[in-house]
Amino acid sequence: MTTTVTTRPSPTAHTARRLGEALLTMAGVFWAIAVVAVVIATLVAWRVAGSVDVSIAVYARQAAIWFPFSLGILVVAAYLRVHIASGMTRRTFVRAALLVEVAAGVGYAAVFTAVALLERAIHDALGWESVMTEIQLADESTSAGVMLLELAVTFVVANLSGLLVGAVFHRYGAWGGMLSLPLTVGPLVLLLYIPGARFVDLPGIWTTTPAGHLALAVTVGTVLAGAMAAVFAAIVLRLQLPPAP
Amino acid sequence: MTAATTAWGVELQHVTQRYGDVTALDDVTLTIRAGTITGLLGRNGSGKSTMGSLLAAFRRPTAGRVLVDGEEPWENERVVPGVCFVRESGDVLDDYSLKDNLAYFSGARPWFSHELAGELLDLFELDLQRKPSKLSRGKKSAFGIVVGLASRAQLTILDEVHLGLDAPSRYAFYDALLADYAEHPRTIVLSSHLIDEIERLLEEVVVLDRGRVLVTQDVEGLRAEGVSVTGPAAAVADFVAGRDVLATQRLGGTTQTTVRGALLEGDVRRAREAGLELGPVPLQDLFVHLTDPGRTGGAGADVQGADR
Repeated sequence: MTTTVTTRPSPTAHTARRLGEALLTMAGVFWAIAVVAVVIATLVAWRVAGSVDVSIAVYARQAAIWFPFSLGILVVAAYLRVHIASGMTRRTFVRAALLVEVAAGVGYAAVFTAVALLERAIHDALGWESVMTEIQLADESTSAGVMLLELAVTFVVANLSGLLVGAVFHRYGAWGGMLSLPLTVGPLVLLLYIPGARFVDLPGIWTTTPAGHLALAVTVGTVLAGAMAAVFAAIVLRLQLPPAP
Repeated sequence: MTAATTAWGVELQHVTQRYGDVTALDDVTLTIRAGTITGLLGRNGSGKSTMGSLLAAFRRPTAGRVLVDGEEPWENERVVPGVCFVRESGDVLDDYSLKDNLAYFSGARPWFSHELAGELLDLFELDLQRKPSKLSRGKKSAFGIVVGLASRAQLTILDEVHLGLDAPSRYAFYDALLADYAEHPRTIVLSSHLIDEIERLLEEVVVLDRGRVLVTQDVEGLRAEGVSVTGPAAAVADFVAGRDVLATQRLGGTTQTTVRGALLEGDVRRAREAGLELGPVPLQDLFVHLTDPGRTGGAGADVQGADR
């Protein structure tokens, strides 16, 4: 018995498109709220103090880390089982999820950088400062490229951490997921405090230079991202799903 | 465009599946012929869903080999698109509309039929704009059926997909399944507790009991092996002596005994002379008797060996 077969799109591309659309929708909601919040906070600060000499936009950094992180958990919880039930492999899910989450991290960094630069331009036009108070490498004088690179590494690691948490909860259950949080989220927290190294001088070992800080943050972030992606893939590729939904 | 077989056979070789201390499948060896509708029957917890999970690569067996179309399905890019396992209402994107769900499934299934999906959606009166999470139990099951049948997978496993469906919808499902199977032959494994209803669809049957294969046989053959013997208690007892007695019921001086095993030459005549009545046994009654806990304690392996 034979029949003609229609070709199907690449399973990786198919699922990446579905995940991408979902994350894009959520990103739209997030940035709409974030921009409105920044504008309102700026207006309130201006009314109270007469001028706004700090970057308000940069306060959205923590939200821009942890919101997509939580979506990474949901990606595994909501899509993995359906992906396999639809006749696709774990391997293609891993590829699609990693592709989309890395792209999302870079995308969030690009939008964040654009918002921060726009805010800086507005502040400059009004004669205000744009001091950045967050613990990060970029400050009010940093170029767009440096800010984008630092944020992209941080956001990508956050997203991969979310995927990893989702996979660990799926594999080891609630207790296993909770107890392993230091391992799954710890690397992200570590990365967030790497910029603190700029306050440390170890004569003969480490001297504070802006380029050195950036190189350290990017190197550590890249290594962590690679390790998290590898562990995520290893867990998902061996994942046994229970028979009942 | 390429050509492919439309029906895939299944082979389980000494498959064991454990969940911690629980053994869901215990050294199961069986074959499901390509291009048949096979009933997968068993009491709750007998291992039916676990078998479906293994065939659809949801899990890997603890021991043994699972082969679909000659290959292990686990992470097999060729095989998994041709295996569709729908358990109860199926695995769906709960927070997306049925339309979005169908778009996702159709993109993943090379043989998906939008035409059949549309017909089934109309048949079950499903609104494409609704989300699965907002559907009633029966409508969720109906959507699982739409996905399972419209996927036209070479191996389709439908596990209790009738849950919550009213009787007219169940019969509409059976008719739709048969009609599409006739036009697009494939291997269908149907699991249900409503044996009376699905009996007419089945060509072969696998009965699981406590993780072991109790029976694997063509339905006609199995049905022919079940005989009810009714008459005076003493005569019935004499007639069934030495046979595989499945169950006995008594009403006053009359006894009805269900036996399994083909009648030998002369049995019908001997029964008539003894004033006994011989009759067929419905598949559901056979199933109930075969899986009676009082009867099957540890007997599964013996029966499996005798059947195939």
